[in-house]
Amino acid sequence: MLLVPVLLGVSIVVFVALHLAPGDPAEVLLGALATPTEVASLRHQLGLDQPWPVQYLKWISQVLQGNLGTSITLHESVRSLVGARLLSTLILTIPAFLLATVCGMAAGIASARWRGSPFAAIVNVGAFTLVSMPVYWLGLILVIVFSLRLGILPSGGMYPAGGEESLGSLLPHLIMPCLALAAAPAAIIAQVTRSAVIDELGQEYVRTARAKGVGLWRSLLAHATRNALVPIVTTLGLEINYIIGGDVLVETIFSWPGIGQMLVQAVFSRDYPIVLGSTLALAIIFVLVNLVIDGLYGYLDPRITVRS
Amino acid sequence: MVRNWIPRNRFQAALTALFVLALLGALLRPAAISRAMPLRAGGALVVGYEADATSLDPAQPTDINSMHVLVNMYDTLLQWSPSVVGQLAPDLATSWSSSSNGLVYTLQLRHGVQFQDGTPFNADAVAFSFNRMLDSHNPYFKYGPFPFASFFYGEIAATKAIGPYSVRFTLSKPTASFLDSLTIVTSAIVSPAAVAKDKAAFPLHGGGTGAFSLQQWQRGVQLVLQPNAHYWQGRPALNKLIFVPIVQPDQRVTALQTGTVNLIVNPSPVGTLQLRSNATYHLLVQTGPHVWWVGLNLRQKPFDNVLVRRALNYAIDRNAIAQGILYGTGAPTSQPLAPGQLGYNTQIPGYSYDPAKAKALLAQAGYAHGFSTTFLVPTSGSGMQDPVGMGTAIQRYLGAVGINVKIEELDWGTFLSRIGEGAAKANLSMWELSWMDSAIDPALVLNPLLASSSFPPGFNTGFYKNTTVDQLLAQAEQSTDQHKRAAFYARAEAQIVQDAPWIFVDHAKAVVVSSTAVHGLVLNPTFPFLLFGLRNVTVG
Amino acid sequence: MAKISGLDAAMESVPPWEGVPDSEQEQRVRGASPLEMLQRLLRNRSACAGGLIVVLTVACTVLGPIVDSVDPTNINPIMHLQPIGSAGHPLGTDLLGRDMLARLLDGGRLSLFAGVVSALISTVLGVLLGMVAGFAGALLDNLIMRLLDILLGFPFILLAILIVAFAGPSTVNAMIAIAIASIPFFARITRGLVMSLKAREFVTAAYALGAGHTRVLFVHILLNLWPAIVATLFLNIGFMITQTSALSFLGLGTQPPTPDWGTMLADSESYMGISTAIASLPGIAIVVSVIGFNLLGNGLRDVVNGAV
Repeated sequence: MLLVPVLLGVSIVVFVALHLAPGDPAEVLLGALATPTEVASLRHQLGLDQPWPVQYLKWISQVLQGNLGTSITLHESVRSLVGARLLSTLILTIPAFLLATVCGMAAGIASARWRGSPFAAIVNVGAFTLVSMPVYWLGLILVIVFSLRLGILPSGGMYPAGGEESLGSLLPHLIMPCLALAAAPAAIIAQVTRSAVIDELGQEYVRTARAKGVGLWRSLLAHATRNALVPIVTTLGLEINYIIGGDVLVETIFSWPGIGQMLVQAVFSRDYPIVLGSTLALAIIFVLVNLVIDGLYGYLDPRITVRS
Repeated sequence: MVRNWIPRNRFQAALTALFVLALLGALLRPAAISRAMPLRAGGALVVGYEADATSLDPAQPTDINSMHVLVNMYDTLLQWSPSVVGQLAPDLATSWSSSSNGLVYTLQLRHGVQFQDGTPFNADAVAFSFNRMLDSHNPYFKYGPFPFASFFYGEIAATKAIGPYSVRFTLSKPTASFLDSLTIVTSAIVSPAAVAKDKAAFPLHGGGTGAFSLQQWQRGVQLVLQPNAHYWQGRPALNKLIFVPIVQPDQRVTALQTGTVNLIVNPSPVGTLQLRSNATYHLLVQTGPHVWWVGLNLRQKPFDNVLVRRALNYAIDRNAIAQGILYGTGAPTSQPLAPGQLGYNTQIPGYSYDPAKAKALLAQAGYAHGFSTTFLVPTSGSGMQDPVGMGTAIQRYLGAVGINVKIEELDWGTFLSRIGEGAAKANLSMWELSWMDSAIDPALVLNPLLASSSFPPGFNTGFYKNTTVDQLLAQAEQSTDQHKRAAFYARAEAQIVQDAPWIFVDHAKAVVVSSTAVHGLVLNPTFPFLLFGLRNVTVG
Repeated sequence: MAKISGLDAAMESVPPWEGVPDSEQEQRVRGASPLEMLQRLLRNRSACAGGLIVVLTVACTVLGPIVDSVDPTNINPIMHLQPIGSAGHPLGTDLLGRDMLARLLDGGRLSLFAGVVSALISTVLGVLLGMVAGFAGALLDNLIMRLLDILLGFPFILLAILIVAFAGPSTVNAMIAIAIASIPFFARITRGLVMSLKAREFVTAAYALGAGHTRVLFVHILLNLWPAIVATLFLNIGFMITQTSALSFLGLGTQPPTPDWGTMLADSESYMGISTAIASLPGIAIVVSVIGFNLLGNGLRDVVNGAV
């Protein structure tokens, strides 16, 4: 399985980069009070004074036993920290991904169907603009408009502080970050869908079906979609990477307690166990998603599985 | 019509299933008991602070955010008086005395106090709390690390319970600031039973004698404290004390304005401006024992010339920085100690904004055409106020008198590494830094930063040395008379200002903003940077 | 024959991120002459609009500081947040009293430079790797692809953060970080294209005429490749601009007092609620320039694929 070497590779790169970076967790913990003796003593307590390969092997053997270590700055097991944060990130990214896919495909199909109309023009221009907006700017604009000026949506966090944790209290907090994250991918999916559908609609078999009296929508949904899905699914795979990247920025702007925010903070505070554990988690997800997409290809277009 | 909604193929089915799963996932999140907003009088205080606490074990954290929480969950032996500046007041210790040689301190402890887990507070608990963080052979030492332990309490050679309510500290050398350091929350007394039971999980729950105990902690989301009904100072009025981490200062302001929280610390300077002019908010601003300066490498030309250093001090407009960049959240200064600290010298005229004089001094020193130099600036950092804004302003002011300053910006972690190496090894010329004096005592400011015994690897990064100052500091350390000590420190201050080893800039002011529904909030006059006394607050 | 992952197969026809994937009909890489392609480009109205925006933006940022002599780094705290249209400050001033117009023009130069150069680096390296992988096949191909998988296993922004944390924050390092993180995408596309080109008649003919491997790869195949590469390049400049300014936004890119649109955007967050108009300017600048590059890129891609 390719999974293992890739994950190993990822972990090695992260490990090396972290240790090459100037500054270490002991210094950051001690802050301005860091004398070399204090720092050395702390490093020893944290096991940082051993040679890198030894530290790395220790970490790998721990991971294989299901132990991701303990966070240096947060004093808790990395596994529980990553688990909790990962769940929060998924609560944000999965709906964003679905929203992007559903809205994007709907908009794309519609603008292909009514090609040339003002509606299609608006969709195209809108999609184009959304693609060109930095996700962090979009997030800021949403906060200004809906939280500050209109006051109808909360400005950050995942649940109301001190309040209930339920689907009902989650939704108002979820709307803006989800929109900010989904906007650009939705636009791209719309463009891709539109183009793919237009191509399919021009194909022989569709024209044949229409000549036989099959309605446009029916031929679209029943016949064209499946073939059009190939490039769309490709784009979905690419969008995952895009969404994970944007997720880090969105989590920062909306104080969303997700893994991206924790990861960035951990890089700055050189909290090695968290950086390694989170990166591993994200890499696993990414590789798994790509495997699913590969599988989808095989299902959608049997020709792709074998090339002679 | 309905037929069109049935998934036509497996792909659509998968998509639908995924969506349903996501919804289910959100619904079935691990047990969170429904918490309705309390209706009783006293209310719930929701505090927006700068970052989530890192640990509920008082000896572990080094960050101020954890300490906001800890001072409400734990008590220390001594505390600062809520009304008189610089005066120690009894807390868990009721009286204290020291031996004439200053090496032995004996404290009498309060009777009838219980930990939140019901176990009794006594001298054994005190000895336990200190030994576990100082003695590497102690069985609980391995649950550290305890980074601040040796800096503040390194002089303690032994802690011993000499009676059920009597404890003795034996020091390895006389330390005038020892009693002051007992106010720091790092030495808060923990419940030995709780530590023994929770072991490595103790930082997630805590357990002390304080006004509040942990109800629930969702890391990164909120930390909920509940009142301690058996608190020895009386049950707090609040029903709930909630800490919500909001990292961006602007978002904290927004959160206050939208009602998500009803109290925030350190809003952005611009936000302070907005909130100040709005009568629905209550602003508390107070200068505290903190200092922000630009360090200079005194072993490097041209900073080895005192005329040049004075010129730098005349070149910048501290008032404009405090008003225009910090929006009044800093108090301009020309000396290291803050007003209210022992030894603060009110007689020093200080450096005014005088670019002409700066140029004249530079010319006198032989730098009529100025010079070029590099300035190290961190992008953030505890106590650094607005490091980039202030650094940029200083660069402009120095540029106006002919000094070409190139800024090198680093993230906090990297910045600390460079500073830690010392000015010579790291080849530093100018850098900005700040110092929060948690123990208040001037010995813990001037000695580490400006005594020649603190050359790198110590914190006197720029190699400042003046034997008169060294002598004054040593004498102050030996003396036990606070008036004499004040006099020594005041003279040392005067000399330091004359020598200008730093570019002095400002003392930070603690800024706490609350909605007017919050009553009884007072900043501690000696150390306003921590949210002490939330137990006296009511909301509603 | 070896199974080619569905993702790879479809990616050969999909430019990264923005852009519409070609259908099977449009996968032909036309060997039209540059003049023909230019003519086709000029007929495309939206591409012309895009080109105009790009030219104007570049011209303003390059020439602007020469024409408008206001110093973009001049701090004047008393004059902070002057509204748009004030005397001497046509676009107002920021929080520290610096002239917004001067900062936008000066910052634009840096942001555009960062976007273009990182796109170039990424393209050159990615294309090189892709060409070698696609042409050589077998073991070398596998090796290169696995290495790229490792790079891809990272969330994009995390890789960039790690690189900058290790190398120190600066505009150049941010550019390099984004460039490195983008190499896999260019490499994959190129590889796909090269693999389909390898099977074409002109290659067989070249070999028959006595050309060696190097010549076939770097002359014949490259000649057929470059239009698609150029189109992809332009389509990605916009993304690079956004990503490099995302790094500046996080504090890892350009250092003060040098302005660039990303740092200006980060600064503007603090006064967005007070002077929304002024605070929106950097974001608008980014969006407009990215739209310009995207329109141009779309046009180029259409030209290359023979669609009018």
